[in-house]
Formats: sequence, structure tokens, C-alpha cells
Amino acid sequence: MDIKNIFYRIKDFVLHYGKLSYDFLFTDEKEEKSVIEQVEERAEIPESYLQRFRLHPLQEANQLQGRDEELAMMQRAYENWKISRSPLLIVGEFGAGMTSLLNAGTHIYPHAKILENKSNISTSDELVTELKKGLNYPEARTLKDLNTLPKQDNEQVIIFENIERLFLRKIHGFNLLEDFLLLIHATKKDIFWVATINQYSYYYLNQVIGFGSNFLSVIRLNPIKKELIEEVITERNKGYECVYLKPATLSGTLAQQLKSADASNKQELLKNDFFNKLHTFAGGNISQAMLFWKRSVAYIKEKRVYVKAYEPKPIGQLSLEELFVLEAILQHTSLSNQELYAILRNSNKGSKLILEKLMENDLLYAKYYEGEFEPEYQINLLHLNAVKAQIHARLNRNIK
Amino acid sequence: MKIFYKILFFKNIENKYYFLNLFKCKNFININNKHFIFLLIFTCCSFQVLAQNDSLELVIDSLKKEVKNVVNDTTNVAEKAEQVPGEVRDNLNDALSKATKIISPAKILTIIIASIFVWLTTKGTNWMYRSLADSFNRHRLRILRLQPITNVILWVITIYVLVMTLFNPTPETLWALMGSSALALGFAAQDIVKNIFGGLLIIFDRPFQVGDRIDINGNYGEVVRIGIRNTDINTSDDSIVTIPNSKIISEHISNANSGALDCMVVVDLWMPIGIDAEVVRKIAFEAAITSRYLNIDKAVSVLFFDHFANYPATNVKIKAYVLDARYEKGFAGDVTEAAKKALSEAGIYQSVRQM
Repeated sequence: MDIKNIFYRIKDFVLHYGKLSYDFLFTDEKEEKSVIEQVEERAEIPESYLQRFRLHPLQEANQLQGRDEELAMMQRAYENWKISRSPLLIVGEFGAGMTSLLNAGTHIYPHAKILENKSNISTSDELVTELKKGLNYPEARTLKDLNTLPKQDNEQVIIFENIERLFLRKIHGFNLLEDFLLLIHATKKDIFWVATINQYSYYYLNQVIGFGSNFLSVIRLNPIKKELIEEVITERNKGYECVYLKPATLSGTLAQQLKSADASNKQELLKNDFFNKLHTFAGGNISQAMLFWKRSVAYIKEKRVYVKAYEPKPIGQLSLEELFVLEAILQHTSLSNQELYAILRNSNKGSKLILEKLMENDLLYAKYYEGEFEPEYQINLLHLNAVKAQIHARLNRNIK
Repeated sequence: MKIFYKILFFKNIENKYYFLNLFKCKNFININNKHFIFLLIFTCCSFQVLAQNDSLELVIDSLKKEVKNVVNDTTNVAEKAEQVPGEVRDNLNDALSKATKIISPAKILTIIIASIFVWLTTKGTNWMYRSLADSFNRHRLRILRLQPITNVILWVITIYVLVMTLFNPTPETLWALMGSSALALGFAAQDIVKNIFGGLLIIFDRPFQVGDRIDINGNYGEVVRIGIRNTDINTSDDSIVTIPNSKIISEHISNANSGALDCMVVVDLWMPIGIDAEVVRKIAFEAAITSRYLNIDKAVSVLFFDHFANYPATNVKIKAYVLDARYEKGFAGDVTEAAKKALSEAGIYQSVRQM
């Protein structure tokens, strides 16, 4: 931990305890009222505007910004495969834009087939069904059949998204992933395999079963630069004028500067302050940046967007059990209650109760996939940083 | 011989035999030893000389002078003896007044208030360290190990400041005081002093620190406090064992984590001798790597040992690190439970029952 980080932790500690005592002594009804007002204000934002900031993967390469380096690395990995026949692994954070990158990467290998794995795959039958589509081999019934694929005329490129969906952290829960890795090795001569994985799963699997050693080429998605994120947000606000409002908490220096600045300079200062806060919050994650912007829009009037920097609500000290649940979800991207029960080896009702509590605190949200009756739970991106920080500090995990 | 006789039976001014009076003088009054020895040697030598030569009148003269000196000394001492009670009284009064100057009620009050203040300060710093340790869990042990050192430093500074400002002793007094108090403490409070020195040794030599998991004389648990006199250990059944520091420094100490947050846990599983080692290895390994308490940064190993003492059995040892030494038992229990369930499902524990 560097000195800057320690300083911020101490500051947080002092602020946290200071705020607790302040709240205890001085909180009154006014604050609650202001929260209600904020909710009402948010309701006024037109849906057409919010649509601009919806989180969805980009389909075209020209829409993707700030990923030139990663695209060049993908190109190099493909060239390398022609010689060394080694598969490629792409590691990234939630919401860092891995799917967008893969979509953009299709111009490198136009005949690539993308296999999206949204929900967990727990049996080899499910995996075979999924792979049959991509490999264009409907006769295959087992993974062994797929190991002996008939040779195709063209080079095949298979992109297997979210490889972490193939394992479940339980005894015998790694079998399917190991079988799939064996399949990759058996067919890598003829197929260029590209797999993606979230960085928490990668960290875990790498440490416990040496997962990373199966891939000679590994690309890690870098955080997007502050200027680029600002550019993307400005682009999405086309047709609107942005007015930056004074944030709820103002630093002493900024307050002094605002006092002596004229109207246009004030806007410039507030804009800089806003994007600094956005960057601190998102840390180069485009999805988190979009969420921050959406949360920051106070109201819209006559093509003018009034923006007030969003201040995340502190999540407080989580219990050990809650942290274990959140860590398990991070490692698997999303989990159903049944899967969580199998992972944590506690009672079904016990894990359900923890999930409900975390949902109430806005740390998780439930997602229903097609054909699934039970929801899967995912981490709320708004609190991802805070959750990560607590897992790092309290569970001593060497990943941030 | 006449002269010798004269000396022997020489009468002083009080009309008493001189030679006999010599011993009386020495016994009754504390005359100068040098004078007395000189006198004796001189007398002996004189006798020898006189035995050979009876005409040494000079010797007699010097002897007379010496005798006069002795008589004068005796008179002075007698006069002084009369003055002693008065002087003793004066000295006593003087000492009393000095003592009341040194230990006044104001000074005692100052010491009490300062001690209470320092005690509260140590409680405050302890609370601060605990809160910091909670907030910075990864650095918990580093923070907690400062706690006993701070307490010792606070007390040493307070005692030094109080002594120097209230009593302002000279260096000689200070050394004398330290020497005499060490002697007094050595006799009166041997055990307490042993414990205090033991405490200081533990704090500065650091065989273990706050947060370490140690085993002393069968008491295994987490060190929660290192005090000046005692050390507190929180055992796995959540009872606090207080061990005097003097005992600790003379015992063998086993330290499980030595200042690190994590520690190795060995989980023992007992199997029938004819098990399928490959299946068991996979289950045992996966039971460890899937545990929520595992420190995933360190390797897990599974070892097999055969035993034939009472009945043939295989001991499977799972060696892994727990993410925090506090969850050691939780980890062992979790791994055992998961392995047992999976082994039962694989039909391995059933065969134990058949045996």
C-alpha cells in the first residue's frame, strides 16, 4: 500500500468516525426530506435522455474508444496462434467493456463465432449444447466427440465469453472447466480459442489451480483514460448543454477559487471537480462512469442538463458472512441462491436471508435470464469499489 | 631496667598508671587508631632499646607528649558527648522539615492526578489502536504490536517527568535511590519485579506479539494483551487465560503465525488403509481450495501416511493457510465437514463403518 493510499484510508477513518459522531449529535429531519426531494427530482429526468447512458455492449469497432492497444494485442495474439497454436485469454473488470472489445475484434477475425454464456453452465450436456452451435458440429453428444472434430476447410475462431461460468467453487465444481480446458488443448491446432474471464475469477482460479498457465497469451484490459471517458460522456450529451452545480461537499480550495471566479470560470472549475470525482469513482471503468453520470443528473430543463456530483452512500462495515457471499458472487460474476448454498456450505435459508439483506442494502440486484425461474444475483456496480475495498482489507485478498 | 620500670609504672596527671590507662583510653573512647598503634610499636621498641641502654631520656619525653595528646583527646570527646542529645534533636527536626518539603500533599495529589491522566490516556490509545486495527485489517497486527510499547513509553515518560519536576534529585541521589529501591523491591516484591522485567523482555525482545497465536504450557490461543505484569491469551473456547510474564519467559513458546495475519492449518482425516488415494486426494484438495477461509495466495498440499499401530489406517493431512489466524478453527471445521460429506458420497466413509 503506497503512502497516498494510507493517507486516504486514514482520512476515511477520521471522516467516518467524525461523521458518526456528527450524525449522532446533529442529524435532523431536514436531511431525510432532502433525500426524498432528490428522488422526486430524479423522476423528472426523461427516459429518452437516460437511454443515451444505457449499459450495453457496442456492436461496431468504430464506436469503441480507448482500446486501440488491446485490439493491437488481439491482432498479435492471432498472428502468434498461427505459429504457436496457443489460445488467448482476455481478463477484465466487470463493466470494463469486454464484450464491446470482442465485438470490435471481429474485424480481425471476421468468421469468429461468439459464444455468450450469461448464466452458469453446470453440466457437460449444457456445455456440449453450447459448443455444438459454435463448432458447427450438431452430431456431437459428448465432450469426447468434440475432441475429435472433423477438420474444417477454414480456420476457426471461437470466442468463449465468461469462461468462469463453467466452474462452481465446490468439491467437483472444477470438473467441467478442466474438461473444457482439455478440449481447448485438444483442438487448438485447428481452432483459435479466445476466452474471457472476470479478474476476480482469474485471480482465484490462477491461485488455486494455475488456470492462467493454460493460456500463453493473456490480455488485461487497462482502465480507460480520464480524458477519453470525458469525451464519451460529452458525445452522449450531444444536443444538451451541461450545467455543473455546486457539489454537496466542497473542498476548501475549490470554495476559495469559486469565490473569486466569474460565472464562466465557475463552470469550468465545477466541471473539473466533477470529472475528477467521476474518475475517482469509476477508476477507468466505462460502465461505472456512465452510472455515475446518470446518478449525477439532478434535473433537465429546456435542453439543459443540471449535474451535481453523485456522492455514494457509505456501505458501512459488512459482516464476515456478507463479505463471503459478495466474494463468491464476484468470483462467479453472478450466482443463484442454490449455487450460493452449495458454495458456502451453509443452509439454503441462511444464504437466502443474507442475499435478501444485501439486496435491501442495494449491494446486489437480481437478474432473470431467459428460461431461468430463479434469479441470479449480481453486484451493484455503484458499490463495486466499496465492496472490493472491504474484501481486500478484511479478507486479505491481494486483489483490488 | 630502672627506666623500663619507670615507664611501666609511670603515673599521669590523674595519678594513674600510664600503661594500663592506655588500654582503657582505647576502649572507652574512640581515639585515633593510628596514635594507638604508633604508641604500642613505639613502646615495644623502646623496651627493646631500654633493655640495651638505660640512658634514653629523650624517649621518655616523647612518650610524655604523646600521653598528653591522648588525654586531651579524651577530654574533648567527653565534652562533645554532652552536646549529642541536642544535636540529635536538631538533626531530627531538620530531617522532618526536609521530608515534609519533599513529600507535600500537593505533590501527592499531583502524582495521583498525573497517574489517572496517564491511565486514561493509555486506555484511549488502546481504543485508538483497536479501532485502527479494525479499519486497517490487513495491518492489524502491525498496529496492535505498537500498543504495549506505547503504554510502556507513556508510563516511563510520566514517571521521569514527575520525579524530575517534583523532586529534582541530584544524579547521586537518583543512583542511591535506584540502588536502595532495587534492594528493597528485590526483597519485598520479588515476583512483581520478575513479572515486570518479564513484561519488558516480551515487549522488546518480542518472542510473540499481540494478535499472534501461541501455545504456552498447553494454553493455546490468541494474544490479546501484553501487560507489564501479565499476558492475556484468548483461547479457542473464548476464555481469557492470564499468564504472569515471569512464567512466560521461562517456558517454551510455540508461535503459529509469528506476526503474520495468516497461519498454516493442518487438517487430519483418517481413512481405511485400502482407499483410492487419487479420489481422496482430489476431494481433500478441493475441500481446502473451496473453503471461504482459505488464503488463496499460498499453496495447499495433501499428504498420506499409513499407520499400523492399533489397526491399519491412512492419515490424510491437508496443509493449507487460513486467511486470518482468527479463523483457524473455522477453516479446519469447514474443510473437515466438506471432505467428510464428499467422502461419504464417494462411499469411502461407509467402508470405515464396515471395518
